[in-house]
Amino acid sequence: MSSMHITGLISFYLALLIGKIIACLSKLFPFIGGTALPGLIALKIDPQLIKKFQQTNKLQSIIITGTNGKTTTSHLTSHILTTAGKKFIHNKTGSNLLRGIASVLINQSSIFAKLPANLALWEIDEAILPSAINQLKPKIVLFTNLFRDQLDRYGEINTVLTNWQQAVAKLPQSSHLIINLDDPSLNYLSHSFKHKPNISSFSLSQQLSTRQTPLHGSDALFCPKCLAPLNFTHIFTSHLSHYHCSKCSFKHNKPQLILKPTSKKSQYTIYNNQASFPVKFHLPGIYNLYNLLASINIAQTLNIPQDIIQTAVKDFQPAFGRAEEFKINNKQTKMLLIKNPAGFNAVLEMLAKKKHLLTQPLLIAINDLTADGKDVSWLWDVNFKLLKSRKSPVIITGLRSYDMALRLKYAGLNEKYITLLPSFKKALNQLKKSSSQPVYILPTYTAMLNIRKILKQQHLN
Amino acid sequence: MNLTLAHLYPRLMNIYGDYGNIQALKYRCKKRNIKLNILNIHPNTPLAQNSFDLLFAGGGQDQQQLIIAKDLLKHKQVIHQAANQGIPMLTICGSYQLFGKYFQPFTGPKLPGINIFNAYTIASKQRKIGNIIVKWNSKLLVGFENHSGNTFLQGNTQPLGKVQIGFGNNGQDKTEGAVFNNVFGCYLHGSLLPKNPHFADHLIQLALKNKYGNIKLTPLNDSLELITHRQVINRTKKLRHPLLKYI
Repeated sequence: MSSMHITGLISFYLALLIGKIIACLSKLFPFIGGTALPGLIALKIDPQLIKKFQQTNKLQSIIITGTNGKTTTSHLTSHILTTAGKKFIHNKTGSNLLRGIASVLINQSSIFAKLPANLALWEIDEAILPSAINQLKPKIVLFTNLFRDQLDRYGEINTVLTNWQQAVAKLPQSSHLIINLDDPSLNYLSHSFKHKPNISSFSLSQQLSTRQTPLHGSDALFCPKCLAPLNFTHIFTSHLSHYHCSKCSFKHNKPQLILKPTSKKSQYTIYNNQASFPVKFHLPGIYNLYNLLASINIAQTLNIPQDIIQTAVKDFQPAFGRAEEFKINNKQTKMLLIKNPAGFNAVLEMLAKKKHLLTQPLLIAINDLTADGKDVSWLWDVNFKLLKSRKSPVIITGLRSYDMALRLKYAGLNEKYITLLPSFKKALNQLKKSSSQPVYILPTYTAMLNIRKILKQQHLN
Repeated sequence: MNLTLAHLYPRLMNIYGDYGNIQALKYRCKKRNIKLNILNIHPNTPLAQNSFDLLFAGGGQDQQQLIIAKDLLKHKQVIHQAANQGIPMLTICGSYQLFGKYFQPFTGPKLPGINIFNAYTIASKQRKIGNIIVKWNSKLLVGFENHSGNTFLQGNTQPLGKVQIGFGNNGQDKTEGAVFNNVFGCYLHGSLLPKNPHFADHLIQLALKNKYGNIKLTPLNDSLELITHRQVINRTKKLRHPLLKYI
């Protein structure tokens, strides 16, 4: 506190007070604004608010960032921490910009800026990572992966990577950096952190590999260090792989944590150097195995005992919209959020592997608002060939349903199986008529919000 | 009938769904029993004279553009010769810039282009992002632009069209793209050709004409393409409307 100047203190408490008042008001009058409004205004009054919270409370932060898997990884980590009896703060609604962090801090703190815990878990939007690192001075930063995503908002992948490199170079020496080693860009990113002993990484074992040549639109085909082509020995999804440079010494070197499949479904072995332990984990898809590894890596960095990790992982339920399950007309329905080509490909591959892609009722909902990405070009980078031989309708809805329908036509799906219903209500009514289950809904972010709202209203009536 | 399409740098220049253009050309040729061979040209792949009837090159990231800029210079002569023979080519964004005289990035030296278009590009601070509508001859083209480069046409270089909604070449002079003989350059992602079937067919028609003379293309059932085209126009207009955009 002593380092803070008196005017700094005044603006801090003023920002906090006003933030609290706005939070109260928006609770009383929900139309006033979203969960992030108190933080937004408070940061206008004191841009250093988050930093001051960190200093006055000696807050130890865990940051989870990357293109895909942030929400699931932070929810799973939260579940492990809770099971371990830890007290911590978490932006669990997924409001992951600075204003979201500020709002959570304002909400949780006393009027004298005292927080109920000195541990915090933050899911952080990849674009604001540099300022988040600067303000929070985190104890742990974990990167899930880097894919092309909403290029209209984040810019090019290399721009994102350069920003991350600069942010990582500024991490305190005592911080821990955790990366997904199967992503070549992240391997390269870790070179920017000078305190090598505090870097750990995770990887899938080669048995889980599905291919050896990358799909179209994979993002890391070239060595991030010398720009020569990368050679791939095992590919899991998109460019997540075991790789080495065709020219220089850059390669997939030894990960700390490795996940191997067992002969039993949903059962895996985690290897950490010489030690190993079994885990049961029920979420489908290869990308969820990365989320699992990421959470275990964080938990182990925090010295959480193995038996607690095993218990927590076993009974974990997915977050809002992430492999979420519910019933429509008594039929089992799964909603899987899609955000970018890598995520969409992973979902399609998972459904294909389950033999559900060609047979089960399917609704795809594409919007083009800010949170979805205003540019729908990315649909052309998704491998829809997997759907080509489908012989039952795909229902397509949303603000950019036409683009999606056209995409499927050019992927070779017979036009008579494309049911184009731009209205969400009509599309959901059509989906309800389908006879078999499970039913799959694949929406972009705001399309998911639309769908949930309609289902909620219909459920109430 | 068969056509050969040279696809420049498919692995490096493939951002913003530009691969959709190849899919559209493939689909529209196949439906008409035209065999479309794809010749993938990677860095260090040779490109022989008279080896292609059509050429496509898409957009890429700055770093990728840097890698291919040097390689593209090796093909300068072959591409010039093809352009003079009337071979149709479509270049988008990063490739379009390098088909001009030069591209001046934010940092680092100028990247020399292959000078098909009498035009130059300078990186600007303002990134030009959004849906775009362009008037091309008497018809419209729709797409999505996302570029920081400002392209300026020189001499009597003709633009591809006039911007109706959006930024276009530089956000100032309402021009979009450039044309030299049958070579087209533009900033339209989206992907461009699936949503603008008339433009896709124009390219195919030009390629066939060079090889087989005047051939009437069999009309396809483009109802979905045309509804999509119209729907993108409506959506673009709504997003730019001073009041409606808030609904």
